[in-house]
Amino acid sequence: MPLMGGDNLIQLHNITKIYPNNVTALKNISLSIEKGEFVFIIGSSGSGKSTLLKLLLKEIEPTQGEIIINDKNITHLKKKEIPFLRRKLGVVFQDFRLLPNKTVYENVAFAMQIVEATPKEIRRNVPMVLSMVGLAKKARCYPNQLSGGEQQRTALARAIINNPPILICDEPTGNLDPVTSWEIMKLLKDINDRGTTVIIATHEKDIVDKMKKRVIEIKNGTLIRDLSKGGYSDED
Amino acid sequence: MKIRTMKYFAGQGFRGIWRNRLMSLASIGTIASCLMIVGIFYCIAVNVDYMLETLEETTGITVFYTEETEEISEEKIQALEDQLNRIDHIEKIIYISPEEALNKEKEEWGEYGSLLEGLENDNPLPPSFELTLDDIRYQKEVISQLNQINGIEIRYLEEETKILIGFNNMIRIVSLVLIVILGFIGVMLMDNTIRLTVYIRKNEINIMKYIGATDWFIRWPFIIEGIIIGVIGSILPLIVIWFSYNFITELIYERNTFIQKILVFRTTGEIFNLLTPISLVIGIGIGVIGSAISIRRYLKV
Repeated sequence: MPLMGGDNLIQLHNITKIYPNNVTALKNISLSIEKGEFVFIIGSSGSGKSTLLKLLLKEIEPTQGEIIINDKNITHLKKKEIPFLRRKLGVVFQDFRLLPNKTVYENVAFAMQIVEATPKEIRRNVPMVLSMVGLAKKARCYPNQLSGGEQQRTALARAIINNPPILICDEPTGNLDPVTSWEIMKLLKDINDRGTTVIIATHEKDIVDKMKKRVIEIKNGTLIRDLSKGGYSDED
Repeated sequence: MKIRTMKYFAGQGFRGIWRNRLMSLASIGTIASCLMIVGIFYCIAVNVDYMLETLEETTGITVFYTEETEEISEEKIQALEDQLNRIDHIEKIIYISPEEALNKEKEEWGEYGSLLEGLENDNPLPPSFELTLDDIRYQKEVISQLNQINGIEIRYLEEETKILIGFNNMIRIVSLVLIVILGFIGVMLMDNTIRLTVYIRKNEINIMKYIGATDWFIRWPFIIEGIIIGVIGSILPLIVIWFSYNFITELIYERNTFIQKILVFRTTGEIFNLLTPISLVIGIGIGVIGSAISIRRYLKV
């Protein structure tokens, strides 16, 4: 069994997830994502894409199957090891999830404090990442003083500040207008170009169609399509 | 743990207390009143114990022959001492000759001691033994054994001892029960206080978990919050007790010299040698246990 594959950063083997209320969210999903890939996971709400992301983040455990990230089997990770797995995964959510009582700078620095970075590292890295996402001038603003796009940029900066090899985005443009959405996608592309593997769960057709990246479609918990350089639907 | 991380935890701990000052105040108040009662009972218990100890030393049991003094030979005294030596729980046996007994009387009579002058040649006081017990609780046992020795009289303070022992036992039971009940209430209130801070910071905790914070990294600020509340809650009653103890003992000593003979008090210093660590341990204990209970519920992400 090809459990350890050369550049495969993430591997799912026959993953099934049945929730305690007997809802089958995922059925026998197998897929692998290579290092440096840019992947869309698409499907309507309730299709199981959120479950898939939750499995990767170790919020839940699969009922069956195995998950391997970075050559490490994380299927049954000890509770104590979960934080260290999550440090390898940057996360961005649809609702940004910034701390309202902290400035942009502090929100990003906070992620470094958690991994016990030195103040020197924090002072050096935070402005660097903020200017990369185009927020250098907003460092002292609080989240409620920012536009949605700016808030998502802050969240992105926070997600990548510790240099995770994988960036997971759950509907990152769900709360943004089309123009801003494109800016965020461009940023995600930049981040991907620097070597970070980017996984995006979305149901925005336009974006998926134009990006021409790998598309994994899930419907009713089953993987129905896995195309490199695909579009949102088969008709394209 | 790195120093800057500890600083971060301490800062977060203080901030938590401030953000939630009303509940923090309530928790401090509960811990403080809990420890206030603990402290008061401790003071009483320690002093009753001390009075018992003093009673053991000063009064003890006195035995002497009922015969006329002239008829008591050296051998008889020696024989009695041997008999006394065989009884358990007698810690000290002091022989008091008639002369010594007279001198002691004179001393106790103080300025009226001169009235006893002239008795030296016709001393009515018999030779006696003063017995000190290792624990006054065994008084009854020892007395019943002494009663089996013929021709001696036994003098001891029965009533006073009984009352003090009874009082002492009661104080101990009451303070133990109170400590348990108040400790329980303290932990519950603490749990509520911290639960509120944890709830306010629910989003923050959630985000921290996604970024990869370890459980301990999340837990520490709350535990420090509990420690701070516990420390403040234990220092407050200590201060109050310190001043009131000084005030009350001085008042009793000043007002009533007669009472001093029975009511002997430990010094404030002696009381606080043990009361301070006891209070701090209970206070911090309540604070930390209360926080730990409420964080547990929120750490399951």
